[in-house]
Amino acid sequence: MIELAGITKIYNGTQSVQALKGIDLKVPAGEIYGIIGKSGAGKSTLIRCINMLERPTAGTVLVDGEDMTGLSEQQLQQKRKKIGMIFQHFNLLSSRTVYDNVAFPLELAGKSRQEIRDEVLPLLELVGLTEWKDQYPAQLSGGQKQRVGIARALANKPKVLLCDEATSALDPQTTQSILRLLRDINKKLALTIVLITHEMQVIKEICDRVGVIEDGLIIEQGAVLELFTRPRTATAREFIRTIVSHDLPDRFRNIRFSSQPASGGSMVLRISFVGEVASEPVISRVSRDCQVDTNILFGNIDTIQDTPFGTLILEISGEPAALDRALQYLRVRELGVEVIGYAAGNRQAAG
Amino acid sequence: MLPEIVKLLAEALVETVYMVGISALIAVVAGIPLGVILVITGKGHILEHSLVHTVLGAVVNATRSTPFIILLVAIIPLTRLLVGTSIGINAAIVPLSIAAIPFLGRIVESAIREVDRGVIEAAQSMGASPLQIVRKVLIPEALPALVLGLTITVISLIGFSAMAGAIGGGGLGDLAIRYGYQRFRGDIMLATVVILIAQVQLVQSLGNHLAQRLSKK
Repeated sequence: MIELAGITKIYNGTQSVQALKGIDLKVPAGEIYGIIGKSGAGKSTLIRCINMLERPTAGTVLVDGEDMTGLSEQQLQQKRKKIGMIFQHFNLLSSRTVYDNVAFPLELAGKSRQEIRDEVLPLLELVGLTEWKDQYPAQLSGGQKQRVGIARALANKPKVLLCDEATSALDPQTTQSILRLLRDINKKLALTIVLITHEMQVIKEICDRVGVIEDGLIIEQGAVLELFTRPRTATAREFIRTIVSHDLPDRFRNIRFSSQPASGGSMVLRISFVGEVASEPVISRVSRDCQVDTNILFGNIDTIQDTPFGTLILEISGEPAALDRALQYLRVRELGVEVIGYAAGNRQAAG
Repeated sequence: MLPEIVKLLAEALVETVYMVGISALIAVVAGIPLGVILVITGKGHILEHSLVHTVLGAVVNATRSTPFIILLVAIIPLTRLLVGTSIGINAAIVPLSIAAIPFLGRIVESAIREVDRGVIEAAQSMGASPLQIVRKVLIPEALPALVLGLTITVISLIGFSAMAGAIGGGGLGDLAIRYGYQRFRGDIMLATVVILIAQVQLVQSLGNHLAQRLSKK
């Protein structure tokens, strides 16, 4: 549905800034694709390149098979009617009621009053704002404003919805309800959604696939579960850490880990597992088969879109050769294994 | 005696209202588009055009930096050309309008500039053309500020119209100078001042009230 190839964007000012440095991205129809990055990473510019609010300096943007970069201004205006967009600060017209805000894109498209009425009322129903239709935006809460934004973005029956930090100005509960609504309309209307965010929670909650953007480049992308279990970049790990506790228990903070095993020492591992692997008695087997002692220091199980996802921190002690065997054993399983380090001596850290 | 003064004052008031009313109307018709064009041709706006922006800006500044009393005399040839005479209330409308258009234009410019860029971006994302953005976003969103700006313009015009009176333009200013000043009629002077104050108060209250009602923020 959306295909970006070699997108670069250079801002020419007193100092020319390269905001995007060659982005390739494919989003199939019906998918929710999340782009996560810190502020200044280029995510805002990237999402605006999809509907040409920002013209890329180079590269092509295909939306529904049509090259956006080759369209004239008029063609672009027509095309944009099929690409909805919602914003962090909602961007509603303060002088119009809820009803008239949702009617706005239909007015732009030259629909009659009756047609507008027939389309606006079901949309207000969909986002749960029927009772609020005659209120002005100033009288609404943030979550309600975003619902108006969503209804407005859907008015022209778009195939694509772009979400620019749509929940970043909302509290956690409201964020949940907006994300649920986005999930619902994604299913109900077979809508392709591209969202940008700096909150891993949003990615975890509704995205099918995710791309991590840093310094104008997508540095890592894949299925959300994949990213959570096998992050390949430091930035991805950092984002995951914001919602999945990856910190070592306090009593481990002061230990200096070395990267080499020491005789009689122990190894501390972080293991993440997904779905049915969780049911295999991995820990008892590794202890028995490799002749090591295994101690669980920390455990946490979470679900990512209905799939269980867990993290364990294990301390495994034994001879260096045994530790190596244990590591091999764990690595061949469908597990994410990360060696935090080796502790020297016969340290009985866990109580 | 008294009825005579009342008649003079009433006539002068009607003349002032007429001069101010017509020039305010002309200012609205020309000043609002001027202000809008100044904004949208600005850097990074929906119809960026630096030549138009610079030229218009310079013309506005030139007009606004000319003191009204000078403008009044300086454009007499133009006034003659347009109205056929340089005295009387119809003649006064020409300099009044010429002063009011850039005045209102600048006020409109700052009012329109206040419209949230995000809202404009949202309209663009929905496929709005520049004209649609002006008509359906910029003007409605800035309407309360535009009403207040027009209020200021009308009040300035009341002041300018008194000056126009000084060179034979008619209206309250003319009356105050001919009777109050040149014939030492303190009572008429006082009466015109009172009427002018009341007029300004009325216009300001009306403007405030209307802007309040239009604002949904």
